[in-house]
Amino acid sequence: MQEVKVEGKVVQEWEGNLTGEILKTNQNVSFLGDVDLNTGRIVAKDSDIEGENISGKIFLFPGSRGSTVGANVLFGLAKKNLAPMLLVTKHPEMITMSGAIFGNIPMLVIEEEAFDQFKTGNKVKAFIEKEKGYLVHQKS
Amino acid sequence: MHLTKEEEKILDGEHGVILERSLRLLTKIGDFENADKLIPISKSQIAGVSFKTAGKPTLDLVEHIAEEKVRVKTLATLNPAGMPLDTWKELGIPEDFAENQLRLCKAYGKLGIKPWCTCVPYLPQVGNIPEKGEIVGFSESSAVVYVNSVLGARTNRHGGLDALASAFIGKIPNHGYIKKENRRGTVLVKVKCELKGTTDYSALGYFLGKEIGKGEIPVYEGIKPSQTELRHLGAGSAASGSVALFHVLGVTPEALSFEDAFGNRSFSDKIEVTRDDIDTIFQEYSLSETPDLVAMGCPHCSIDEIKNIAEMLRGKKIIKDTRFWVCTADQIKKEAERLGYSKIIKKAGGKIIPHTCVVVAPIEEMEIQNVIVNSAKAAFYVPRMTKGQVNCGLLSVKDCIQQITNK
Repeated sequence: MQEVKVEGKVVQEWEGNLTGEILKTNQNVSFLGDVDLNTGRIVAKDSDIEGENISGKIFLFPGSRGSTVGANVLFGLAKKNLAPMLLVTKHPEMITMSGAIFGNIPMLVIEEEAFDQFKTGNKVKAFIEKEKGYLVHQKS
Repeated sequence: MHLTKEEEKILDGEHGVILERSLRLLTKIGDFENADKLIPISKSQIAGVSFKTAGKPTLDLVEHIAEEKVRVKTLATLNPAGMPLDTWKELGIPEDFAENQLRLCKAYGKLGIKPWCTCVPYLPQVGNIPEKGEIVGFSESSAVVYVNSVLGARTNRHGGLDALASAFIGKIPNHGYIKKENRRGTVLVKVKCELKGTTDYSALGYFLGKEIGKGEIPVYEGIKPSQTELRHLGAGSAASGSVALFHVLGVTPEALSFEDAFGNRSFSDKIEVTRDDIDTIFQEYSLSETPDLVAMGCPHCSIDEIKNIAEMLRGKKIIKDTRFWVCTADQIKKEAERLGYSKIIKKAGGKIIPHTCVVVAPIEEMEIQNVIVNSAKAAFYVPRMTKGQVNCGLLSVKDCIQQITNK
């Protein structure tokens, strides 16, 4: 067993630690259109995670694309308790940052190299402080 | 980023959760963009208004904020809605859509935002007009590019939610296009052909937006556009390529000379635009079917454009089964009524429509399949915003009117 520990910058903080499972996409996400508002499922036909559900997951995505209303979709998911447990991205764009902050969804920004170390299904612990956050994963 | 004592109090939640989140958003953006501080603004433009684009999540969010009794600190105006707010019935807007749209506009109104619903708040009849050098917080890509480039005011490209957050706080992070050194040109664009009218300028902007990279600032040489043509030029390039600022040598306020436009910044000078380039845009959006709808006003028409349309329509009749919309701000519509243009357009069988436009109205639910527009921005968005259900052609105003009128 080898421990992988990755540091990131905090966009939205969270009191206490989080433990969850990773869902990862390698494509930029348009929260408006790609995600079903009533379930949290990815409905985009051309997505590499079509049919998966982002609710309650540690959701890794490179960046966002498309309408700025995507921010409001994140807020809407949070209000219905359908938001991801933690958002993790490489590119901190206005759409996701504003969605995370208004929806009170914890969010971390990590480097490219760190992003590549995780894959869907990994069990991860997240420690999120005021400025910095950490993702920890036991690699077998 | 440096925060004042008052800003720290807001972050500590002393002024409620909405202001805390708004300021948190601005400081996070500032941190990632290496801004040194927040700076005051007194004017905002808020996008995310049409229920077609904003949808239920936005309605939930804005109603939630309204319940918290937060109000904007700036003169803030709303982008176009999905319908004329008073006369939606006669346009054939579905009832449930109208109900949600009215709720959303009402909720925005409770935040103290003027529900004028136009993408040209900076025109004199409307009155949210940034001055040269003034720092503002605008969303709506065509308004961002116009106030930066033509008015010489300074704004970054905001989305609806961060423009709203900055209107609540009355400040924006100091970075990007706010700083003079980031406003110099990066690409010289030599226009080698003659352009006629607004649609040619719209196509030029659209062509260029596709040619250049994210964040580039084009400086056009060889054209002398009018104010209306500058609006179309900017809107086209903002739609196809996210251009937030451009200059026209000898025309726009920050490019009266070559030195002015480029300063010491290094720039590329490889782009030349010919008539063939402009024509490819018209070919990209050609339509052989008879249109169900011909729509002007993307961005919303100025009074000069309406005058021009009225003069071309005088004494003519629009063919049966084709709707003709002239979309504009309510204040401009009223002026068109005073000046007699509305009467001429109505007599020919057209309508002046306030508060909305062909891009954000639910046209796919209104038995419309084929549309012709005079704006490359509209031609770009109509198929995309209707999930491909509506086809769109691009023609000059003159050609549009010629195609759908009988003497």
